[in-house]
Amino acid sequence: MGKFRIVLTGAVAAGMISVTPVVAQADTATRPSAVEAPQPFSALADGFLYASAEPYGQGAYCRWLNNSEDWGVCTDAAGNSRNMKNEASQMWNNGVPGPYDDVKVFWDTSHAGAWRCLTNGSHWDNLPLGRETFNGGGSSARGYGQSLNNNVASHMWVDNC
Amino acid sequence: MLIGTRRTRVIAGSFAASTVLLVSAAWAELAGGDARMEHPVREITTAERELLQTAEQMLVQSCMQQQGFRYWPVDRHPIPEYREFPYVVDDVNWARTYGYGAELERRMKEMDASSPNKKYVAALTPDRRRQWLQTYHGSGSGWLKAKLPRGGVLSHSDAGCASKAQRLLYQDLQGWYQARESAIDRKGLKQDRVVADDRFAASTEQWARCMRRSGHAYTSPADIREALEKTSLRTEPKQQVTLAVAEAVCAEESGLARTSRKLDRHYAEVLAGQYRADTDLKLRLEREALPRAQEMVRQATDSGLSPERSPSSSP
Repeated sequence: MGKFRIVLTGAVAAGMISVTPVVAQADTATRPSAVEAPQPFSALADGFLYASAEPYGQGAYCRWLNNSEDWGVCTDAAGNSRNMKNEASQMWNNGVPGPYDDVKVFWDTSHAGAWRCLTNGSHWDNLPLGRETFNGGGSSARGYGQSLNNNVASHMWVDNC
Repeated sequence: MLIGTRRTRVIAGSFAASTVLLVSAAWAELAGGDARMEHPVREITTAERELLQTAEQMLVQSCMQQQGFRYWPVDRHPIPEYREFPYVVDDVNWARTYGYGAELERRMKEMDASSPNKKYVAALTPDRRRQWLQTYHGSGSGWLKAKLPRGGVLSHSDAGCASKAQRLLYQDLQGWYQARESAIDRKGLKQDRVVADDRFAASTEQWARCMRRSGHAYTSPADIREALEKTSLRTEPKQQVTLAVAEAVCAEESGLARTSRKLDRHYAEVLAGQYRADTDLKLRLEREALPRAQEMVRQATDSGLSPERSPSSSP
């Protein structure tokens, strides 16, 4: 949620803005060559939000330690540049427990539109099934009620879901 | 927003004393009831919730230390004044002091950036960092599942220290994950229902009229939130305070505050009934965990251990 989520949260909040990055750090971890379902990124586990193009952590992926306003430009652990905007079919919140360890994913770039919140340590493994939809930001928010699958464009770490 | 969610704060200083107070408060409140009742009739109190959080964090720390890692217990309320107003700011004094809470939010972010767990993990080598997170969150083994009221299925490893601590505390780990995540989702569903109610819309119109009389042309509190994020108001703390105070005054004068509270209670009851299995499960698991939490904290207090003084491994 935006900077002023403190005073108006959930269904009635309208817009989102960017916030200060959580932790700035470099990471040189590399991804294993293969990850078997249903253990998404099991060998990575390093404090990032992960999103992969296929269910159960398969296919191309991106990871973020901080907030991202545009999933169109992101990288995997090997530094490969990816476009995960409207491409992700699995997401995993592997953040370090702390004040901001839950994460909201948004329909639009720049933390705009409808959102859905993913609690620390949890994952959505199979978004193409269509069970998970954008349910935050109010029914008038762009993307509200739509499937998360191939529809997430940005994310933000938050203090709780 | 607080139930079933985690506000985190480093537990600092006088741990033993504070836990004794928490325990005393929790058990004083329990004195009139049966902690093992099969169908609990009320939510646990704030003091009881803090007791559960304290015990859970002690268990996580112990687990992490057994695996050779350091871990600093976190609490649910890093800044007590940091409040959420899901419908409208309805506390004039709070608004007068904090405006829309921008300064509190800034402090929260500072606390996040300086949180000992994050600093510690960031300083580890990549391999050790992965191990720390795997030890905390778990990987492989079984997977917890939570089916949510608004649709969707969440998963979580059952093998990490976070899950191990919750299993020790609540016994039924899968049940706890389902009940907790369902409660978080239900809260959002409740807020959706409140703002979709015609009575909320009617009160909001009254509120907007009040605001216009005060010189603020906004149709809803949500309009103000949007302005706070997209206009120059964002960088005007004095104007924010003026506006927040007007919002809160009008919330009372228009009845929007009263309507919101009433509808919030109403839909909380409706949804508790609609999702009775999850609601009852959460209450039962929490209540049954209280004696275990009390005993864990008592033992830690008696032994003179505190999270700050417990031996920890180095990175």
